[in-house]
Amino acid sequence: MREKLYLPELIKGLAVTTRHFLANLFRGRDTNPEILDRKGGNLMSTVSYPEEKKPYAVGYRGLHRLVPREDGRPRCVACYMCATACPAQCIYIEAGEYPTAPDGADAASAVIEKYPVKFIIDELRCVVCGLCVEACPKDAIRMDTGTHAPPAYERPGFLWGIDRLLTGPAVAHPSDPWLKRPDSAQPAHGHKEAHMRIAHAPTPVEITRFDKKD
Amino acid sequence: MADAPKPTSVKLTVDGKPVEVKPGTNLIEAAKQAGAQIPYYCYHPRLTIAANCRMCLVEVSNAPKLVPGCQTPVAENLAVQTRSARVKDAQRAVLEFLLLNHPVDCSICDQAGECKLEDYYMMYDFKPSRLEGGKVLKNKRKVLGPLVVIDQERCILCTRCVRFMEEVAQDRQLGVFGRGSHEVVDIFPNKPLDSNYAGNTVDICPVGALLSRDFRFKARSWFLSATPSVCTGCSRGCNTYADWFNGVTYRYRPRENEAVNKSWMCDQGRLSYKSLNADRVEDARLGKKAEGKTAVFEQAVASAAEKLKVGAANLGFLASPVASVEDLLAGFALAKQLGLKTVFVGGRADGASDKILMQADKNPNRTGLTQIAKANGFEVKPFSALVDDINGGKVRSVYAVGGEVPVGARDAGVVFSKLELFVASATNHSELTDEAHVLLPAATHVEDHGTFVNFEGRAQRFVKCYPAPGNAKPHWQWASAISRTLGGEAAFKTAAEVFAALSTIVPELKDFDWQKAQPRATARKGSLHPLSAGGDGRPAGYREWMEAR
Ligand code: SF4
Ligand code: SF4
Ligand code: SF4
Ligand code: SF4
Ligand code: FES
Repeated sequence: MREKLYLPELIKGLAVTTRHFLANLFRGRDTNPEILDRKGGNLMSTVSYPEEKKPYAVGYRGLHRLVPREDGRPRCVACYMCATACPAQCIYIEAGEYPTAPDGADAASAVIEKYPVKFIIDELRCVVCGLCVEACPKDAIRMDTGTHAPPAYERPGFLWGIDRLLTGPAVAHPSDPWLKRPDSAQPAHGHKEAHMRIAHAPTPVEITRFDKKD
Repeated sequence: MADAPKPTSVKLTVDGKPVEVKPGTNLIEAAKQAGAQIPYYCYHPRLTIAANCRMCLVEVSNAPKLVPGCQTPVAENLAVQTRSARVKDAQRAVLEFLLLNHPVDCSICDQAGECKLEDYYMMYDFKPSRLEGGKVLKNKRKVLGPLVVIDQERCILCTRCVRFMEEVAQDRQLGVFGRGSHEVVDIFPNKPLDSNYAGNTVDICPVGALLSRDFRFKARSWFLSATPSVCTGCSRGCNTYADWFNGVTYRYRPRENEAVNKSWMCDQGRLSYKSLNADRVEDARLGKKAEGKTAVFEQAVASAAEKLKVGAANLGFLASPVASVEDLLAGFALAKQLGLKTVFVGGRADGASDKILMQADKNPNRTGLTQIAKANGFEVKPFSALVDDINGGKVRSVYAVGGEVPVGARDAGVVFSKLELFVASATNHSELTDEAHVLLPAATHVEDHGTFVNFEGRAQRFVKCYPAPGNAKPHWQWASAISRTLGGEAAFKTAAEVFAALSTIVPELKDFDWQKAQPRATARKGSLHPLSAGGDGRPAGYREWMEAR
């Protein structure tokens, strides 16, 4: 009985294989990474990376970057918040102080006294949780690169330092201290300046005149 | 009327709880005794009262308005409210006022994690800022002196630092200048804050305005563990906290002790922690520095014992008063076993002294050394006598507990290079230890438990912070092991034995209970509790390292 039955089943199976083979061979392939939206007659349902790429979701946590200020230095002030929050303990920071006197260091950095001498993330240990980004009070570390750590042949290749992390567009906030003052010394009119900065242009006030009619 | 006896205690209620305190106590202290908390910035129990921060406002039954708790003494039958609606309102208002022009740069500020503004804000305010426009800008980092830098924007003008310099350091180097929101704490023109007690202003500043230039940005306070310790800078033996992380001591802070150092310590002692991290002897070495080979514990002990047996006839025993009582006890037991009658005292040379804390004798344990020498019947001779004996050929081999010498290490090295045998257990490398034929790595006072006896004869315990680096062992362990190898009876096998022997051998320490004298902050039950993971960034097991005993 069994011997009698297996032949039709075998042919059925071969037919499926042949159909897939011919369809994939002759019918066009739609490279839309959204597989369900593909229109081509091709029956292949895989994404052939890296030619075809599925776009990452909005908010995808990619490779870290250290956000630069406009002058190219990192926004990071080495507060260790990210290192403290990191559950994988893969962030290593060494803090340093910009020179106090305006010798060499430009005025913008003199307002910020502290900066990371070393900032290293071990991307192999990272669990991509994004807690470091959440913890940062200075918006200095982001995971908005949209990529992941490129492969490397040795472990040290995954230790990302400032030189590799400091990429991408600079970010500025109106509250940045370097926008408020030229250096760390007391401004001649600390208070007055502060008030003048609130209103960049004086708000126009409508004045109604009650002229005496006579 | 006038002869009415003065009352010895005053009864009052704090938040409805009855409490009995000494007359004249202020409300902050009275509330503490009643288990209530009154927040404060400008009040410091060891300074005069300024009552300028107004954080401590409380409601009392005998005044229509809120009164500052720091300045108000208790009165009979007084009812104090520390958490009433009016008080809460005042606390919130005061905090809002203090934070009005405060830059809140906690991420840069070195005080973050131990800042009273942060703490009290979370406890009593917790409201968004209503300030419109910019804050007053002041000097962000003005160097005041060798140890102190100020951020005038963060200062809340509590004047603790100014009062401290005047009252305790007795050196008016700080003042308040300006008016209103332009008021700043500053030094006088061309007069730096260079008092030897300037570091204390950093400790008492409740916010991050005064910061230590030495400690700044080296470590975040929440990573550090604080272990009660004793300063080794001079024979006063100021009580300290050693703040450490991951086997490195980052700073000393004074620990309160009414009898010894009140709440203060001098800058010279404060910076003495650096020797704990610098150029440590981490491995035993056989042979002088040039041709020395590292050795493991057993090899080093065997070699030292064998050589000492041969050289015992003309041996000199050099003891350092920087070593603890325990170290010296074991060392002297070895000296006795080797048939010695004399010990030579090394240690650091005398230095400056003052009328506040600093003593001329820069060694923490000279009294302890003298006591143990006496108890063992040794004759004590100064270091110069040892130099004479070496030069005269009377002493041809030396065993040293501790590598500190009162003359320059280079000069001593020249003298000691004439020796046929020099066995030294030392903590730091120097020109002297380079001459050792057997160099044994020793643990410092933060790496072992022990006791110092200060110049007044007060025995003070210190406790272990973290394990010694490399293969370093306490002096007593080296001495005991050598003594045991030489067949000694009294050789100490465990720390407990040394400690037990203390009170029996040394008459001055008869009543000294080693376990009880342990500073209470770390006296806890059980033993080692390594944490499996350090969610706070500390390596596992390193949080509160305590040796199993
Ligand atoms: S993403 Fe998570 S694991 Fe990775 S560095 Fe940030 S905090 Fe650490
Ligand atoms: S939390 Fe932000 S500012 Fe702080 S150390 Fe990390 S990256 Fe730098
Ligand atoms: S003093 Fe306190 S509140 Fe102010 S910046 Fe420093 S840590 Fe923050
Ligand atoms: S510097 Fe610190 S201690 Fe001195 S007045 Fe200001 S807040 Fe108080
Ligand atoms: S603590 Fe009472 S007013 Fe400052």
